[in-house]
Amino acid sequence: MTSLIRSDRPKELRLCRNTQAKKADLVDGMLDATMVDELAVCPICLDEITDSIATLKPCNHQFHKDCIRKWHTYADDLKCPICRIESKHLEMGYKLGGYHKNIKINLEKGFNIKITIEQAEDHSLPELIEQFGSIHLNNQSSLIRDARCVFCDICGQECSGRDDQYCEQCDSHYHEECLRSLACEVGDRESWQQCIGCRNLVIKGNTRTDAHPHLFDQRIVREQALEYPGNSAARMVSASEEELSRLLNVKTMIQTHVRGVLNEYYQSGVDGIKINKRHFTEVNKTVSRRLYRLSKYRYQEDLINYDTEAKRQVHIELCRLGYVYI
Amino acid sequence: MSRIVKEYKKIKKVLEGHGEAFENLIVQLAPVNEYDLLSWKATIRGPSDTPYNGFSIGLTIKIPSDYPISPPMVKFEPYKMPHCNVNFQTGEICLDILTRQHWSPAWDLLHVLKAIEQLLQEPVPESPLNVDIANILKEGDRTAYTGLVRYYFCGGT
Ligand SMILES: [Zn+2]
Ligand SMILES: [Zn+2]
Ligand SMILES: [Zn+2]
Ligand SMILES: [Zn+2]
Ligand SMILES: [Zn+2]
Repeated sequence: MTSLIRSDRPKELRLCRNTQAKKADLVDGMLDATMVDELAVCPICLDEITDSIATLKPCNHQFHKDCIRKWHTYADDLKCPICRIESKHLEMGYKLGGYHKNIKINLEKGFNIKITIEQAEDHSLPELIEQFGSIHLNNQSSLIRDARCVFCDICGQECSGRDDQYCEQCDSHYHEECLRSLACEVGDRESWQQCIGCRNLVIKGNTRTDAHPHLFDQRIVREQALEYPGNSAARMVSASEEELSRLLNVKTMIQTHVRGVLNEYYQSGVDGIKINKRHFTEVNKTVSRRLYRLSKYRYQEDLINYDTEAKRQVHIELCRLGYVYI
Repeated sequence: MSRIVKEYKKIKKVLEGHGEAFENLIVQLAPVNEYDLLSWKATIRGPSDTPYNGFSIGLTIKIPSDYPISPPMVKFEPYKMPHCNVNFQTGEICLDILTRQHWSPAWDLLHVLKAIEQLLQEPVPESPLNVDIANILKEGDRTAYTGLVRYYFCGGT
């Protein structure tokens, strides 16, 4: 492979060897040259970003929330599409009762789960359950909390201890210690339990381990946190055993179509193309996964013609692998 | 509005107006017909200081339905392209930014053409799709390289 990006390391599944060319900055520099007059434009869809801004941290590049989430679901890593710096958090602004709030999502955590699930996609149900035994299969909210980082509105550090305080009114979080020392500083020890934003009384709420219904009833938190990278991962991990077995069933049914198409290529050949076992497995994986996502994790035979779609996708993948149709 | 429609507008603007960065490179970059933005053709100038200097080189670009999440598919077509990283028969290009693993949705067709220009300027014989040309390059025989490229361009097969 001929590489133009310095930061890219060779990965498996290569058709040819990776070689790095010199003018590595070329591709990055270009973007600035062509997008200079369109600063508030989402680099993925090229539409203006008016609301639902998502900012990658630490590089601060901005996208539509939906666009960057879609990319994260698809991508093999968490590199920023623009600068290729590995992203750690995703910061999203939203409005809650007239207050502007930021929510941070821990991308790494979510991504690791996604990777594990994808690697496990070909495993059996018992294997999967064994592998994820440590993750609460039934407890969606614990996963949401794990993926979501909450930061103290006073010191800016992450809230994770048992003594965190929470303001329901404006969705602010505080370390108890920070609230107390602030109250002490201003000489009003008694009022330490007042939110510094709205003066409402704060309540004790451990954002990590307590089940605080008000936290999870907030539609925005729920929606956005559920959509952290690897949507399928979120679904799988948060699913009950029953749901898990349904999902695996969907996968099996989808794979049947893909295997059917690939079998023809493998056994007798199609339009002059005969594929080997390795490519069979490779393409089966890629295409099945794509159809699975496209199906929104349901087997929707009435909406999707799986045979046609499988044929099309297999065709695309084989072209990518360098096969030539006669 | 879909991304490719926006991109089409941007490309038109860049090519018509102040697209100095592309003036020396792009002769044409447009959809095959205006109603189907999923199929494009491009013509680029062979870069100076390369054996391709003075020739126009044709490319076809297919936009996948989930573009820009998936990369575009680019080939040298309809004319055969003698280059060590291009399959002479199929026109397929061995360029990592066009693969699933290395593509970025923040790139567009202009980036792709720029990357291809760079590949013409700096062939990588270590990962060849055209072994004959790669061997000549490895031997450092610039004259033979130029000669062979020109031979193919002038109708040799
Ligand atoms: Zn967008
Ligand atoms: Zn960035
Ligand atoms: Zn604090
Ligand atoms: Zn603190
Ligand atoms: Zn408050």
